[in-house]
Amino acid sequence: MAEYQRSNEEDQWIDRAAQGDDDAFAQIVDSYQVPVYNLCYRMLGNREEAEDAAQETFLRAYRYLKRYDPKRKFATWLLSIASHYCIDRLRRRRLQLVSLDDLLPKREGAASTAGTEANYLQIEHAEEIRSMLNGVGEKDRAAVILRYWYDFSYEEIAESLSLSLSAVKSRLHRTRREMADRWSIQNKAFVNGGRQDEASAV
Amino acid sequence: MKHPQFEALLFEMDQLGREELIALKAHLRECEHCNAVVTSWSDLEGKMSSAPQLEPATGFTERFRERLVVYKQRKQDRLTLAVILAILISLIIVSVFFGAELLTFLPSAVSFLLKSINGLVRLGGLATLLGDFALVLIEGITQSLSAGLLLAISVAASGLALIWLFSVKNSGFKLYEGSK
Repeated sequence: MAEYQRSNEEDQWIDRAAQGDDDAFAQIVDSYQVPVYNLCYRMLGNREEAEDAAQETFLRAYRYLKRYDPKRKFATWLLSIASHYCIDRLRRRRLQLVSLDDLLPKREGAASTAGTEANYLQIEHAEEIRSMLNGVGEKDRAAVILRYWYDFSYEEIAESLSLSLSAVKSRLHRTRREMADRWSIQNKAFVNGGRQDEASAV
Repeated sequence: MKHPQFEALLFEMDQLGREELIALKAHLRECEHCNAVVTSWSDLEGKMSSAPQLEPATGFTERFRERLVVYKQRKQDRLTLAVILAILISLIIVSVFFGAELLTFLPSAVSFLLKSINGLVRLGGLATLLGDFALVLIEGITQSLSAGLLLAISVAASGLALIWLFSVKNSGFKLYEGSK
């Protein structure tokens, strides 16, 4: 899981972007698009929404760049904007009475990557993780993602999600417990299903 | 340590001290429930860490630039609208509070403006007429008189003008001092 360190060059981009240089900001977008996009994808569960959320995250960062405190890690600040935006979006989505089809994860990339067994397994694998994440609350999901994909410390998660340190610890504990239980149930169901298939085949 | 205390440590194994870790491992050998939770979480964590990083579709930055242009345009439009609204609101407030005064003041103000313009036009016409007359006079004088005589008249006129200026100045001072 990648760690995003600020370089001197990046400091210059940030300074120039804060003074209104759009090209400098484009450089920031270029270097952070993958982590921001991945966070949005893991939070929202589909590519279209992830693209839109990532774009909106950068637009918000552009608007609020003057408020950015250089003492903070830029990646933490940016990913915290993305987390908040995705949490809001998930809440709005929950409030809207959308059809179940819209909520179900889509199998993007299946057409382009279908064919090889390895790719199929990878997609299945991603679907399993996505369904695990979809089962937990918005903030808990963000906490798990930041912890396990972005190596955020508890303090950084607390800062990013506007939570207290103890709240982060208890949320993470509860969520991991919940996910572990569901994972174990899902695996048992999968094993039992496999045995039944074998029995019926015999 | 008791079962609930071990449960609290299940997901913190990488942060535990040596003694705590030994105690937890001993507990996991005895407790089937905790062992199942840890095994399940390790499996899930392994899958999560091996999940591939996704790339956004090509041209992400260009699409952002386009979005930024739209955002700036909208911001500009909103600003323009806000200015127009502010002007309209100010006009409404002025007409509500000072409407009656404006109705009485406006005709006299317009009439004053028209009269001023008329006066300026007339003054302009008079100035042109006087200028033309002076030009004709100077032209006539210069043509009828010799150069020497013309010089003598100019010097005399300048001298008279200077005397007049001095006298005006002195009388002006006297008047000023007298008024004090």
